Amino acid sequence: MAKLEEAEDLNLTPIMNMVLVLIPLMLLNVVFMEITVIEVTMPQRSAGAAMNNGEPPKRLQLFISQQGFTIVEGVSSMPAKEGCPSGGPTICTIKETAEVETDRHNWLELYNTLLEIKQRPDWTDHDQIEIVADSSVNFGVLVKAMDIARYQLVPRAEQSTATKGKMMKSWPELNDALAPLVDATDADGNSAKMALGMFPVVVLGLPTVSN
Amino acid sequence: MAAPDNKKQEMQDALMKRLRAKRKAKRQQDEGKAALTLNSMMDMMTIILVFLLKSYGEETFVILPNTDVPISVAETIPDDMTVITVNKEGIFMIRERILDLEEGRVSGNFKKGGESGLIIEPLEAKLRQEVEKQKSIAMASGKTFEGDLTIIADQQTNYRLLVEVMQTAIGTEFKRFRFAVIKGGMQESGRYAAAPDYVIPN
Repeated sequence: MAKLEEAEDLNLTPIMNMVLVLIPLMLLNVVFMEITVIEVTMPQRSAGAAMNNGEPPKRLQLFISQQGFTIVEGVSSMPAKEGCPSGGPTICTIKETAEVETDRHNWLELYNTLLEIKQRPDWTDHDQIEIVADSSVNFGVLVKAMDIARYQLVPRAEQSTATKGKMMKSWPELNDALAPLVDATDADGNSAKMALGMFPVVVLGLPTVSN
Repeated sequence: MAAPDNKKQEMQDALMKRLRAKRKAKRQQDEGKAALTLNSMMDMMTIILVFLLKSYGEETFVILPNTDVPISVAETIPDDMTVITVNKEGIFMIRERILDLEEGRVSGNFKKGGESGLIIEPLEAKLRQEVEKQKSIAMASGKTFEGDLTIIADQQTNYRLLVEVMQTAIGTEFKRFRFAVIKGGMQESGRYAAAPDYVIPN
């Protein structure tokens, strides 16, 4: 007589219990935002600017205050732009009461001014910008200033074809802009498409005390 | 020879009858019990678990609570290195609190030279320990100590405090700095994820 056997089912209950506990635990801890980094340098306090064959060193400096931006080329400050009080910063704020400090500054004017400097023949090969801020300026403003200064930008549709940055005519155009991708060599010597820099090397200076 | 055939037939009938009865009994026993098929759910759970374990292992550093990291268009991927967090509450190394802040500033009692000083003493002591540790690790693995430091700062951290942290680190042989940011577009750049809605200026 044939012996009738019944197959035993695998008992998955302990595994299911473990998985059901592990998944919520890990979902709570996992960060779905992509983290990147901005590289900066800060000189030693004792280090002064080196002289260039007796000439003052070629420096581009950006001073950030609660009143706006002052741009210094070499040793001379750029005059105040149209609409800003004379004797004040080069680019004044546009919305002093904005809740988020980053929204108070005129980033459009800053971008266009820096790009205009970059496109002059004597500044084309210059990669470094020194950023100095008032003690009270917050980190968000510093990050935005670095983003504006480090990359040349073009309208989104021209990202793959453009070879240099373009002046931005409006805020929506600036907000939607991307850095053009150009052929470059990465740190390992491989050729790759990289974002076109404006002043990609950022040096931070000691804070100023005016508020 | 008909009798043995009949007997064999009867035995077969009896066996079939018993089998049918057994199957019927089993069917009646199973009625009302719904067997849940967990196979597809187990497949899904396994995939999610593997994905989460992979993401968990890839995290280079942890963003502490109360730290609104600003958004930036930067694309450089972070390396594994020493991390300092500066948020609304204090200065931290990994998860260890180094000191508390008073209204976003370091008290003069904790700085060399008082209020106007740039070197934060408790942080300096901790960084010196870290440098020794990093140098030992580098030596054991045949590498050189590079002096890389990543700073995770809250969007509201003032520039003075950032410079104090960096100047303290410079004094302890750190020389290359990286600010951790959240990758985003130019419109959100410099703001933080939970900031009020952005209004395009006229």
